[in-house]
Amino acid sequence: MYNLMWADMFQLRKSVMMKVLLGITTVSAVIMAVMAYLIPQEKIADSMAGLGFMFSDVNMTSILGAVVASVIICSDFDHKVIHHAVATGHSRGAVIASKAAVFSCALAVILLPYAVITGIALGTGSEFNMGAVSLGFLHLLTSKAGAAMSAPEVWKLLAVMLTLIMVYVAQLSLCVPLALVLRRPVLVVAIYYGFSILTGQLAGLRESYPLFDRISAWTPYGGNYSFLTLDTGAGEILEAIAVSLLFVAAMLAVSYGSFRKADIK
Amino acid sequence: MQRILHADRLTKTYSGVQSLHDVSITLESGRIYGLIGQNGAGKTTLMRLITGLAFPTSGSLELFGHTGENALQIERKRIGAMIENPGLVPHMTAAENLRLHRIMRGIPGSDVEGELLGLVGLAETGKKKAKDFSLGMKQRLGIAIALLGSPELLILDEPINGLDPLGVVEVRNLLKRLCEEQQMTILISSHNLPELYQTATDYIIIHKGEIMQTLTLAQLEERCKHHLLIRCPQPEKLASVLEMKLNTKNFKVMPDQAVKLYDYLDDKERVARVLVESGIIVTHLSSEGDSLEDYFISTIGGGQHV
Repeated sequence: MYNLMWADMFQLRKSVMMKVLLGITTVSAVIMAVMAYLIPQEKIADSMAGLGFMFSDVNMTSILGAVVASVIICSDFDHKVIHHAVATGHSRGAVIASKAAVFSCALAVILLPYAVITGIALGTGSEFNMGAVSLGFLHLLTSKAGAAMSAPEVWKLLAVMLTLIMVYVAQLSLCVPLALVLRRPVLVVAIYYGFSILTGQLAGLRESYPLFDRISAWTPYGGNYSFLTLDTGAGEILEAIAVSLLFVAAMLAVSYGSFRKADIK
Repeated sequence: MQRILHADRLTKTYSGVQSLHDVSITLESGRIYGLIGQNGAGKTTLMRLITGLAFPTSGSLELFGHTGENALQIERKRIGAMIENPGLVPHMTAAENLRLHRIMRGIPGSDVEGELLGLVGLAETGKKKAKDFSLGMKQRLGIAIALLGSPELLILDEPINGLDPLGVVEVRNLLKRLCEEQQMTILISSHNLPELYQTATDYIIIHKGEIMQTLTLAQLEERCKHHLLIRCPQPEKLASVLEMKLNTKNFKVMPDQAVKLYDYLDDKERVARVLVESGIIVTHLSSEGDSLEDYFISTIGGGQHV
């Protein structure tokens, strides 16, 4: 598995698509922060908040995350890299584990600009606001408005950011079985984006249906896992990490179940 | 000779359609096996089963003396394969593609990349991306990738597709050299039967998912050997005339009572005259001799399949 991971990392390093995606998230993170800065300054209208949300991490990752899965998994079917791995004695479990690990690293890399920009923006002590719509790093950015951070808060900020990245990785781990089964980038991206919209809509039911709220809290799409801030308690952060890890494990199990005996064409 | 692979009654069914039926073959070390069959005959399916890309519906496979899924997976580390078409990452150069697979196989040192590129004639490709390669260059790179780690069993599906005549000769010589020097076992499929005739040491003829025949080059040459085919109602008498009057024992009486005479190929008239003078009623006398192509066609059922 170690060799497979290194090979995937080598391939990723050579991938133009990954560089483009990183460029897109960097530009988007900057636009998101600038708009969240300009809205409370009343230099742009509040109505621009919807547009600003389009550049936020939660929206970008729901599209680009699935693209990353396509680059790492679907492309390897096209280029027969997975064929070679299996034909030369790598177990299918090792292939899945390697893909999942590299996929997680790649997601962390494309989310890094959001983490860095959020950290820098918060460090300025300025006020940021994107209206009512905010999740993930945008929520973290807008929830700590207009106050300088203390040293312990910086460490907490790092912990929250890492947890948020983990939550995103868990949410997008659904793409691993999708990509292994469907093997078509366009299907993976479309299905995951549709699913992310659906989970967003279903989140509105959580207040009306407590049972649904409790069930969804067992997944990285539910609970308050996308609303982590510097005020979030350690217990909630640990819960977010635990739920994310469990969900990733479940997705890996589903992937293994579907790929273990599948013909690779 | 070491048994490298043994397939026992392998059957593969896709959506109710049987692609392979009760296929049993044995491959021994240091031999080049030519897998011959029409499109859809089951050549690629057999290769996919051997490499673990697909699972048999029934039957069993033994690799390097080991059976069972876990053992097979471990033994596949000793295999190099190029199936259907070479799998290349298009935005990478030839060297980068080789490096990717070298890292994947855990082979240390980058020297092997240059050696293999030189071996397949791609040493001068430099920064040219694989997507800009010709089909022949892609095939060469696919062969180089399959050769990484000096596999003991090399599986090549249509490796000379798209190669220019010089490339075909180079690949042929390379495979023969690997077989002789490293005792590498090679399973190769090709539609280019004259080429396969010059490359392989053994032949496996597959048709409609079933193995029709396995034979060595010597057996093939024996069966394709040029001869005079003689038919008559009295083959025993014919045999004695050939021995007594034409002084030859270089003939065979076939199961269908036809006689194949391997002498007097350029003196058919004399044979005919002697037989007639000896009172033999000759119903058929002709010069015969098969190429691998003819032999393949006759084995799978004659011209109706062509």
